Amino acid sequence: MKELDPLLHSQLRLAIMSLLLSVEEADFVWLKEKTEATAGNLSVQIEKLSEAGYIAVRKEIIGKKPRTTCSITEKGRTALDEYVKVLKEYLHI
Amino acid sequence: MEQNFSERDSIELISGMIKKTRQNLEVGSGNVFLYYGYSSLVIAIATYFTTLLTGSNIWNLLWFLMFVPMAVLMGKAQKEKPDVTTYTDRMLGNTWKIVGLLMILSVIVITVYGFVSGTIYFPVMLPVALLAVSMGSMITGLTVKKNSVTAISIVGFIIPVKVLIDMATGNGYTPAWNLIGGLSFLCTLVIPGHILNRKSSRS
Repeated sequence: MKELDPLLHSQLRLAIMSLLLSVEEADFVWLKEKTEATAGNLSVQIEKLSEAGYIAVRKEIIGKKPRTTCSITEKGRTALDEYVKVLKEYLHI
Repeated sequence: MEQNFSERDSIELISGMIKKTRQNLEVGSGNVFLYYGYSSLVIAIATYFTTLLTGSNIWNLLWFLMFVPMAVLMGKAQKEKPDVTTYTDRMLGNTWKIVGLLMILSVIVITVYGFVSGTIYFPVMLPVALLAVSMGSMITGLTVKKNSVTAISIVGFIIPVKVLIDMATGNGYTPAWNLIGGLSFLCTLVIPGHILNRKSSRS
């Protein structure tokens, strides 16, 4: 049986990926609100997902305020798809 | 802190997060419709009375004021971006971008053609704008699954068709066209705007 992707098999990172799966892009504040994570922890996990190429992160200034926007990449979508397939095997569903 | 968890927890988490992103209309989703809708109603009534009372068609140029809310809303959108953009948001945004571009393109074509032919015929702008807006509203209604928006937009669509028939059959411009245009904007923008706001405040 295949191993679960360790990068995705973490509560917060999986939550971020699942949220981004259904939207085109989401900003940091929205992700923080939905995951109920601390800003620091969320930043670290976003960074890890971004380094792996699973999500794209865009930083910009909107109305003098910094804004961080995240979106899932094709690589991330494929990884999550694969993760769910392996999960189903584990759970025999 | 990273927390590893069971496979079953993973499935539940994925399902829970996807549920959180389920499409709910943002409160005030109909506001853009209302900005344009009420602006167009005011312009329609003002144009009707000014052309009727003065007898001068130059007052039809008041319709160009429709570009004012467009510029204001575009400036606002640059300063404030939504927390999240769904695929539906993107699709609707692009639909209305096309409606706006069609208006600008129509003005350019009418103006350029007018300079070439020697007659700038701006009255044609009214049915063209009404057709574009009613199609935008119909697509919006279908996309957000609000049949009442689609239905009322169809009523708004019939009006410019009638205006075009009048044009083609030689029944020329009368100031009443402005009121008819206002009625169409009422059906395609004002009423849908209120329906969308009601739906969003409920969701």
